[in-house]
Amino acid sequence: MIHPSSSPPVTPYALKGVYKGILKVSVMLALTYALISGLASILPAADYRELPLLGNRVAVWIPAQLHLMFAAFVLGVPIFAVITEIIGAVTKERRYDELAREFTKLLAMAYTVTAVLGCMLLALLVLLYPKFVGYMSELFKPTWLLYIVLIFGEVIVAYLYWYGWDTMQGRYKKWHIALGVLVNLWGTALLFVADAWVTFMMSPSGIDEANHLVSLWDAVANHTWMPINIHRLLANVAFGGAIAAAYAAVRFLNASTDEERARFDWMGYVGSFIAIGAFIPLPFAGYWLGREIYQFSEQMGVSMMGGSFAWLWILQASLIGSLFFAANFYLWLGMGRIPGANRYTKFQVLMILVLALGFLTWATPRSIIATGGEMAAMGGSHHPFLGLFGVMAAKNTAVNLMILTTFMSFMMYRRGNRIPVVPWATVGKALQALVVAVAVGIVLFYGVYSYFVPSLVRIGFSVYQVSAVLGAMAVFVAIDIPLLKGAREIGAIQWGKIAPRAQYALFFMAIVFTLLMGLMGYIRSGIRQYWHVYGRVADESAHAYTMSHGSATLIVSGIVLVFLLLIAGVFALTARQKDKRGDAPAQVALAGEDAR
Amino acid sequence: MSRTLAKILVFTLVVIGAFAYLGQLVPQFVEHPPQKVVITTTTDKADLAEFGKKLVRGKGGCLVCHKDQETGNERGPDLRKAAAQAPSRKPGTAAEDYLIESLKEPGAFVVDGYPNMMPAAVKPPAKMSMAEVKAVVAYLQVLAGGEPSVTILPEDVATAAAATGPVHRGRALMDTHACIACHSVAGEGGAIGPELTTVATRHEPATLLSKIRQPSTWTAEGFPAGVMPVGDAIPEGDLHEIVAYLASLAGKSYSATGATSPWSHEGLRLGLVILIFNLGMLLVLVLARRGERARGGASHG
Amino acid sequence: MVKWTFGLALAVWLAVLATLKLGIQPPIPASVLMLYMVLVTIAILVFVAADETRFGHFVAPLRAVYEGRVPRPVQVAVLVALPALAGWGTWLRVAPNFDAPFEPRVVHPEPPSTFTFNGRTVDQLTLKNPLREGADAESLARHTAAGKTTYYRNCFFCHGDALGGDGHFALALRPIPANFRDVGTISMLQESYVFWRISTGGPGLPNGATPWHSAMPVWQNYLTEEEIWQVILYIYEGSGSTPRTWDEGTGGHDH
Repeated sequence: MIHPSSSPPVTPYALKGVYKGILKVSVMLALTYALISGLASILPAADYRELPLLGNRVAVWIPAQLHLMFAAFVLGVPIFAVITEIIGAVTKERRYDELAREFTKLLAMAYTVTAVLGCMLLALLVLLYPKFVGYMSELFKPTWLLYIVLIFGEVIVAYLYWYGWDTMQGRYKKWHIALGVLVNLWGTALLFVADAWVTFMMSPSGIDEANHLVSLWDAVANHTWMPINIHRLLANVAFGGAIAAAYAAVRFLNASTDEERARFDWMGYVGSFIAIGAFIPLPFAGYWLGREIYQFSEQMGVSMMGGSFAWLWILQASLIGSLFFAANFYLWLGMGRIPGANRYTKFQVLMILVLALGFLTWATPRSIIATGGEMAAMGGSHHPFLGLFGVMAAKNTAVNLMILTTFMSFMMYRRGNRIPVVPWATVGKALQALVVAVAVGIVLFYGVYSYFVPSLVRIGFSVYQVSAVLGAMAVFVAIDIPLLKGAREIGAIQWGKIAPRAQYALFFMAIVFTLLMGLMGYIRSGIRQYWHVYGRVADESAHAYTMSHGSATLIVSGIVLVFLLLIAGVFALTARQKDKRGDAPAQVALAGEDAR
Repeated sequence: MSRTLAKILVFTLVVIGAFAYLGQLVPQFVEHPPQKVVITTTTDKADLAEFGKKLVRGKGGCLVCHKDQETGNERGPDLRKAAAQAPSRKPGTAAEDYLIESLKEPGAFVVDGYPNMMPAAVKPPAKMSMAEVKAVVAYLQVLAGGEPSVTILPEDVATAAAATGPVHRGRALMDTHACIACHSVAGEGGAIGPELTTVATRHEPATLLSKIRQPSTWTAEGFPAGVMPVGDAIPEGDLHEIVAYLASLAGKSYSATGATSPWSHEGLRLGLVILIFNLGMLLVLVLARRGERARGGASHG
Repeated sequence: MVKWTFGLALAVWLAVLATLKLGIQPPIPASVLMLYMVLVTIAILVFVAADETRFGHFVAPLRAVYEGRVPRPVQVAVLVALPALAGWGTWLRVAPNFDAPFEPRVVHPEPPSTFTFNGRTVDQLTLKNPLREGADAESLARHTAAGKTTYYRNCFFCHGDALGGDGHFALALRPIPANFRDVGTISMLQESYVFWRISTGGPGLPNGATPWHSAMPVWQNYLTEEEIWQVILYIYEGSGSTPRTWDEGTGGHDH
């Protein structure tokens, strides 16, 4: 609404929207309930029922992973939206608000898909694993009741957030932002409740010898609960940003006017910025999760990192390595449309060198595949030279330097068209260079020093390396903000004047993020091996085995493809929905103007 | 437009395909859950004896009448001496053959002073395979201080088929915990305790549970008290499954997970709450719209 | 400089290949070389494509050949070279080869949480070397000496005189025996792990480590528990390494 001061005539409109959401969820729950209780009374009683053709495990795996990806999307988008909305409110730039609005519009459809997938998953679980699900639901009874209440709450708040967007502009804006924060709190609570169930299956606690509940809180707050919560929360933000960027990329490639291209180019940049910003702390959250898994069960930790699942980490390394390549590639291409950024082109040689060497180090296998002749020549399964790069110390060093390099790309991009004019500019720049040099020095020093100390001491070093990198990034930004205050602009960023292949880089990042989620999801769930609840409730079905990595990656690939097609459908259908706003043309015109 | 979309689709397929291909390059293996102990022709003699011990103490239900340590029942001969006495028991029969025979056909030779009351080990309730019978013999030989002499033949193993599907295991668990040695159910089992096929029609599942846990609470009419052993060695989950099985014989439903199904009353109750919630929402909507219309009518006249 | 992007890229690629192939002794296994070259190719392409000018100059020669703006012989040479290269690559893949097949393997197969030692169940996680725990220097020296004797009576034929994995029979085995002097072997492991490997040998290895054809005998059938622990004392002492210990309760990420 353009005139927020006049009394809002949209109350029934918003209420009707919210009610539609509630009705949808209610009908879906009722149908699922009817389906489950109907089938359960027809089918014979059993511990396990076998689904023909697909098999139980794959039948549950596919909807579970798809549900999780959509859930990540519907939790990530509001975070993404609120961040951009706040940026818009602070900088008073309308285009941020429009961007946030455009993505919030997706929520309604995305919630529906998430809920349908969730209902499918529930039905399959209850029907195929009746005994185990009976045990779990008995154990966690209060939490699933809470979960249903939270779902309704989430739907109400999120629909109010969306339908109130135009009404609550101007002086109501802060209330609208508060509503957005509430959506996220609600979503986070949902995530935490669902995490309690899956983490209990990984690292059970709060039950006695006979698997009876002793303390519900202990069962919820098990070893891996908090690390998974934090890990998933960060990943959701990164995922939301990556999907947003991919959407912008598609729109950019299909755009017919320069205006549109400028708008979607900018949108892709914001999306990728948020994605990579959330991605950088993710390895540290993963490290915490790994530690907790070791603490819960060393056996589980070893089979995850060094045993049956060790080879999947090579796949993970290649995915993350290519993610670094793609991020830097996009930023460097983007610098082509920033006047004056060619000052930094010369650094690209050094940066690609660091990235390539880092990737090589990271991909160097600990266990080398070699023929008999080659092994004889190496004098064992260890190559005396390559062996140096196969160990964790080298890999930690490599990944820290790669993170730092990507960060530097960002900073150069930021400064591209600006020349600091503050009196202390030279000192500031020297200080920044010094901070980065010190961080690189610390990372390299501990990387090399690791080879001369026992493993017990070595484990601690990764903490110093990480702190050095994080600290350097923080100090750099802290200096950068006042440094660029009132900086002289060489020229405006020429949004839209970017090579189409940059958009494929954005697309690539979204695919790789999705693949990573699928792969890590399999590892997290797979390390339980033949247990429903690790060490407590054994999986006695025919699907208790650990499948070969080849089959697992094929299934993950299939799931990712289906997800991308589904999400493309959600985007397409939402785009076709008419915006039910009386003054839509005015809004579009405004958006066009804002796009500069 | 469609050309661009086709390009994007191909790009997506290439990236995902590359990942799937990479997944085929790493070593491939399938890891199966640990096998339940199964006797084979190559099973080590010591393991065989160990397995026999488990059978004697578990599935076989032998300790209901025999003892293999200082304390225990003396309805049948002491198992610790069985193998040592075997060579002299039945003239013309070798020790090993005698032991096997006494398990397969207990009635063929009954030791003086004991009644002919032992059920054959190869029939229900124990329902051992020949391989299992030989494992028990190996245990008896070790128990008497000797070396196991039995050899497992391929045909012994052939009958040692794994139990069929884990569909409500109540009946199988009654074998495992030797209930069936004294009680009969659905036409199988002993006659020391009451017949259990219809027991759930007379008692509530909870009462049955407490009886198994603590038999001294009550005893069926016509049977002596204090015979039934305390069931605290039976895992809680098995206990519920046994009761669920008995209840099902009487046409009652009892969830083996120890509670009523969450998909019954609670689901309906929750549905009711959601329904009321929906109706309330609808009411608010109607009122709001009416108010809106009234105001709109007033201002626009 | 930028004008020669294509030539430079080609030169860098060839230089890296030559360095990796010839510059490192002993030679890098083919699988790793392949991996490295794929990554290097991607890195070069990413770098070239990340800047409009560079990309333009990189594509220019390719386009010139494609559009026929170069002398006819060059065009013919490229047209002949491309299928020839592809053919050569294919031939390399399908040519008969008498090498033993690739052996992907996990360096340290994961130990089971428990294993059976002569009918007794041993808990791998709490297992400690009883001869090292709280032993005084004198008894440690005595047990190490006894371990040395056992080592030379049993292990030295394969694992070698100087614990270098190069005993008389070493080259007849594949994989060759572990080199205890290598920092990647026993010094990265706990004594309980070494005890498990010695006790259960090749047959005790889990599926997760497949394919793994270790010729290590099941030593629990030939040595007593004490002898095995003594040998462990000796191989650490003799190779100048110390067993790995876990940080209390935290575990570690490098393996």
